[in-house]
Amino acid sequence: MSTEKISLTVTVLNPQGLHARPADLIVRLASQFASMIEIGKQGEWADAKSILSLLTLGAAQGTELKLQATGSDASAAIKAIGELFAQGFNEMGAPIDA
Amino acid sequence: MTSTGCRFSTESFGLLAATFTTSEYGFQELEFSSKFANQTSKIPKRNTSDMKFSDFINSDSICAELKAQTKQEVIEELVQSLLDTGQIQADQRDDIVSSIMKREELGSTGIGRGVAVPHTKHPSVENLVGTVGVSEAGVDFDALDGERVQLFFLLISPPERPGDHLRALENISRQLRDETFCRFLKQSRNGSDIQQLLQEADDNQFVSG
Repeated sequence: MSTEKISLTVTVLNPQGLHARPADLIVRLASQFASMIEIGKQGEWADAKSILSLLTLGAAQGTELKLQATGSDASAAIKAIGELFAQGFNEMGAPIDA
Repeated sequence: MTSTGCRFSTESFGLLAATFTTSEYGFQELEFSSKFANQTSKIPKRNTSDMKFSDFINSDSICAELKAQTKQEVIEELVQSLLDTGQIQADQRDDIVSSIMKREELGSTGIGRGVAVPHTKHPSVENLVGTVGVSEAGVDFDALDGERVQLFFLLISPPERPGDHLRALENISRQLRDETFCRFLKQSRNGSDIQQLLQEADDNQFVSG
């Protein structure tokens, strides 16, 4: 099985930032992949499969983050999670109470 | 309620010795030790990553022995405690409880490790208001990992300040990475023990190796 390492820079678009609900969405998505997936902010890395870990990033709107996946399905994982960021975690419309 | 601003007046500066320290997370803090007051205050450098428990946890409203046995009861008990200590307005109580419950319906805030962070935005608060509750038996909170929840951090934040909410979540999750801190909190049976643990965490005494 081939192992690949893929990375992508993303930006937090939604006004509320990476709070508990987006973190939950990321964890649910990331957990569908076998690859190790990390999200980095200024050199500090969080495990994309752990909500507690993701919340330590405290990533507000406009923050640039680096996605990095290592494993057999790394590119699919990065594509899926990158899309979640690009969609602003589906919070770009009406303000959601979060 | 504690403000996040400067904690002492400028004229006391003459009595203070300043040292620079670099915290666990790589940003600088100014640490002032007063040789007269025998206490240490820290003024965090402006950094989005820095918020302390003392900035948003009202120590008088900490519930060391929650009686609640359901999610709804936990939220009611913690919100009532904030009301009893004057942190929220009486006529807002029911609305705050129902909006926290509504947020739970979007997905449980039970984030694992026996910890939950029930929260809401509410226009009736001017600053982030929060408290801590501990349940010895634990409560079924539909947590993401399926475990019962023993430790609750309830947060109510002003709608226009999402950054404060994020930084509070960041502080809670960073501190809870330390298993000792997490375990000690769950074992606490009185408010002053919890308050002391939070204070020690604020003073960086639970720095994960």
